[in-house]
Parts: sequence; structure tokens; C-alpha cells
Amino acid sequence: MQNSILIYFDILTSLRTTEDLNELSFEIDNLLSSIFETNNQSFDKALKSISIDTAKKINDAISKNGINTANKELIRNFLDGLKKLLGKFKTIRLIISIDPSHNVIENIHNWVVSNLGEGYLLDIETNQNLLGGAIIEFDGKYKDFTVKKDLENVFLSKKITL
Amino acid sequence: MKNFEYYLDATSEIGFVQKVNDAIVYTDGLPSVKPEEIVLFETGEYGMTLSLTADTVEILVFSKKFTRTGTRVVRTNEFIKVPVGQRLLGNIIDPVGNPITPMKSSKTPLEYRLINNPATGILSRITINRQMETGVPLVDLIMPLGFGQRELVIGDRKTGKTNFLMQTILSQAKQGNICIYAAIGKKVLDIKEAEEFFRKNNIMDRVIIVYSRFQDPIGITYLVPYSAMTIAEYFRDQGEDVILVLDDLVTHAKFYREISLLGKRFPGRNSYPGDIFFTHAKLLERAGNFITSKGEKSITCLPVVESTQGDLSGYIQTNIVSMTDGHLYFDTELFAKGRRPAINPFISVTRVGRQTQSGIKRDINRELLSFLTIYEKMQNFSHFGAELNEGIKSTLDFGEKLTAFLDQPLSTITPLSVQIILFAMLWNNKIQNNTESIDKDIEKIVSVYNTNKDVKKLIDDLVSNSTSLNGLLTIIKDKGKDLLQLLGSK
Repeated sequence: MQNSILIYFDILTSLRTTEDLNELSFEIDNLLSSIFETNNQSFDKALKSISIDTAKKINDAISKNGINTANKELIRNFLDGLKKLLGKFKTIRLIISIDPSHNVIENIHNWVVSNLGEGYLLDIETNQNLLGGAIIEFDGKYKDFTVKKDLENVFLSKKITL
Repeated sequence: MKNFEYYLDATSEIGFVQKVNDAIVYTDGLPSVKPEEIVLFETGEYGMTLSLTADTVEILVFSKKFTRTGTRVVRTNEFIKVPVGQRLLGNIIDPVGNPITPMKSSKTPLEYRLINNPATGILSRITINRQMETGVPLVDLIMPLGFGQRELVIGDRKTGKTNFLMQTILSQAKQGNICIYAAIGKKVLDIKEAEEFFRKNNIMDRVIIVYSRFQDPIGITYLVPYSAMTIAEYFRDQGEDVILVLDDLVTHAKFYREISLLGKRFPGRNSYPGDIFFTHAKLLERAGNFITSKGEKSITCLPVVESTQGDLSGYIQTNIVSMTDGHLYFDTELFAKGRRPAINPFISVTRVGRQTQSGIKRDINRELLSFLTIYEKMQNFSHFGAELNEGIKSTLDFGEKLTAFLDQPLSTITPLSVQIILFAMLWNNKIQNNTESIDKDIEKIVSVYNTNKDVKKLIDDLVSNSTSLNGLLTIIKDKGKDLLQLLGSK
């Protein structure tokens, strides 16, 4: 088996948010426990215990890298390696006023990839009180680019209290 | 302190609690946080940065509330400060300045000072040259203390250490000096008792109690002596002589050990961290005698250390002995024999106290110490049951009287001038022949001295005009009877 990050590339680059990461992590745990559940449990059968989408990604990665699915030890090493890499993602926390659609998340993530590179996930929280814009928390830095903040500053500069 | 959102906007930095280990919390983020900076949790609790690594910030939390992982933390760009001002007098406050009962309002706002100040440099310090009166003859005549001295008060539990400290505070507060009593990790009842003593003697307006209870967060208890020292420095800068009692540093060391062990610092002797000496030295170094813009002012520090079974060779005990300018040792055996205070003059040390004494006081000191040495030897000799000659008998007899003179009822103080006159009278055999009535005589004389201004002036003049013990003894020999009559009549 290739001992490289590249064998997981497709799986890792498909992640967009911390929710995706948590889900994948949970499914890997499920998979790890189900392949050793009974002696005759085949890997294909074990893949049925997780979502179709994730099962497909894992199956593709395994077959692309020529891993023998009959060898449970190899499968376990593959999954353990994947789990370890999941812990290395950095998180960009976004607090926005709208519930983002899949497209919005995709666009933001694409922007992150093109500006910062791979290895970043979005942790999105919704707070309608912000009115618009976003609060970004990343690497200990906190930036408030919300409409609410702008309005507050306007009120403050004009000494208006509500 | 402002709210969480304010600091979030002001610093634009955030962190999240990653790991909680009792009072120590580890967070990520906060890239520009500094050591000892205050950080604020979104839940309203606050803490102080202990150490930093590339990825994590180690924080000491000043709260007993459980901190959850994921809690947001913000830095404040501020350091631990304590409010200082005249308004603190008469109050009982915690180390960050919160009073037990609301403080009186005042037009002058409280000033805030950093708790961890570096010690004043050598150029601002001067030789200790003024005697600090404790009101206890055994200390004032045999083990004198000077303003600015750091004198360790050491002894086992229940040997009268606190009583002696209360007498010292009483004596100094009555002279108008500021007294700060730092109760470190004490029982509420002990703090209450100290307060009641100060109130009963009407000196609370010159006293500040900085306290932490045993059940308080360890971080708060750790801050108490530093906070008390900061307040002492403020009053020194205001032109006051300050007496600071730190009760006690072994408890402080134990709390610091707990913090260090939780923070996974490498444990050394008795599991104390390697910097325990520095922790106390940087504190005691801040006391001393200083030249300020308002003249020569001092912080006299009396740290208390509890020993176990009279053992002075404990780790913290020896550390603090080596940092201070002497120690008063409270002996369990003497306490059991009924001596009050139970200070053992042969084991106690005062390194800078004698230099503050005038000629007559030094004479008395020398005579007393040499007599007590002889008396001790004679007492040991008499235990063999040998037949005693007249010389030994008279030495033992006088020794008993002297011991009775040096014994002092709890919570009472004897002014230094009275101590000297009484000693001279005793030395000249002018006071009662039986030891039982010496206490009463002393009480009567002190009371006359305190109430009769003429008598007070007479005694003060007599002491200040005498340059040597022999001179004073001659006067007492001639006028002793008249003086005694005067002192006996109100």
C-alpha cells in the first residue's frame, strides 16, 4: 500500500465543512468496527453500514490503490491513516446571518482553496441578528465584518442610542 | 472589567478551550497573548495566562465554576491589578479588591496597580535605622525589629504566633502606621476573629485585611500576598510606614505547588516546583526601608511560616529563613511551660534590628541576653539536685522575676519607654519581691503611662535623656521610689 497522503486525496478534498468531517469520522468508526464484527464479514458487506456516497469514495480509493479487500489488516491501516489525517484540518469559523445553501458553501470553500490551499474546513454558524456580512474566526484571529457591527459603529459615531 | 464582546472587538483575537485540568485550562488561538495577561471567558469567568506554547495557551482560572471545552476565550491586554487608595483602610478585601461589605463612597477614585511589580532597586533603599515597636518586651528588648526589616515568624501550630502578630499590629496601628494583614487560605472564622480583634481595639481604620478562604479558587489564594504587597507599596508611596503580615507562606507554597502540579511542571523536593524559591523571594524582596519623595518610608514584612514538630529544616522553612533578615522562633516547649509569647531568644535571630537601637537599648539587650544565658545554665545545673549557693539562688530568683516581666498577657502591649523603665526598676530591685504581683504592677504602670500625660512625658524624657543603662540605673536608684509612687497613683 502506498504510504502517502495522495491515496486519500479524493476523500479529503471532498470535505467542505466540519459537519462533513464529523460525519466521515463517525462512518470510519462504524466501518472499522463492522469489518471485524464476524469472521466471514466481507468488506463489501461492511461498506453497507455507511452512507452510499462515503462508501463509494472509500471503495474508489481502495481499488485505485490496489488494496486487497480480503486482508482486513490492510483495510484497517488504510482507515486508521485516513482518520489520522482528519485531525490535521484547520478550521475557519464563519458566523453568518443566512442559512447557507450547498452552492454558497462550495463557493466559499473554493475561495479558501484558491487563496489558502487545501487543508481547511468551514465551521458555519447562523445568527440572524448579524443582519448581513460575516464574523470570521481563524487561527486565533477574530474579525467582525457584519452589517450589525457597521450599524453599531454608525450609531456610536453619531452618539445615537436605541 | 468590561464585557466579553468589548475585548473581542478591541483585540480581534479569540481562542477556544481545548482541555480542562481543574483550575488550569488550555486553549488554542489568542496569537498575541502575553504571559500573566488576563483572559476572559464568554461565561464571565476570568483567568491569567501562565505559559504559552506555539499552539496552546495555559490559563489559570480564578473561578470554582467548571469550564467546558469549546468555551470561547478572549484576551484583554490587561494584567492583574488591585485597586488601591485610602478608602481601603478598614476593609476586608479579596486579592483583586472586592470587599466583603461595600466600601464607603469617596470622591477620590481608587487607583489601580499591577500586582506583580518588580522590587524597588538598590538606589532607593537605605539602611534600616529606626526601631519598630511591637509592644512585646521580649522582642523589643532582646530581639528588636527595625522598620523595613523582613522578620520571619516561625513555629508549630498553636504556639501563639498570631497573637504576637496581633500585638504588633495593635502597637503599630496605635502609633498611626498602616497595617496590612494578608490571610492566605484561612478559615472564615480566623479572618472574623482577626477583624473582631482590630475592631475591639479601635484600630480597624489603620488596618486592611486581604484574604482568601481555604475553599477559594487556588489562583485567588496564590495572588493574596502579591496583592497585599502592592497595597503596602501604595501606602509607602503615600508617605506611610507599613507593616505587612503574610499569614502564612507555607499555605501559599502549597497552593502554588497545586497549580504547578496541575500545570505538569516538573516536581522537585517535596513536589514543590523548581521556582518556589523565586516565587517567595520576588515577593519578600519588595519589602524594605526606602527613600521616597515623602522621606524615609518602609514596608516591614512579617511572613509567617508554620513548622512541624519544631523542625526548622523543612524546605519552605529554610527557603524563607534564607530570604529574611532573621526569625522569631515560637517554641512548643516554652509554650507548654506557660511562656507568653513563647519566643525562644536563643534560636531566634534578628540581623538588622540591633543596629536600630540607641546606646541604652543596646546595653539592656546585652545585659538581658547574657543574664538569660546564665539563668538557662543555672536552671540546668539546679536540675541535678546539687546544693545551691546564695549566688545561684539569687540568680534563679531574679531569673524568675525577669521571666515574669517578659511574659505578657495576650492582646496587651507595653510601650517601649515603659519596658525600659520597668527593666531598670527590676534590675535595681525596685519592683515587687514576689513574681506573682509583677504582672499586676506592670499592668498598673502601663495604664498610668497611657492615661497620665505628665507621667508619659516624664518617662519618655527619662528614657530619651539616658545615654547608657548605668546612667538610667543611677537615676532609678535615686528616684526610683518617687517614680514608683507616681506610677502607682492615677
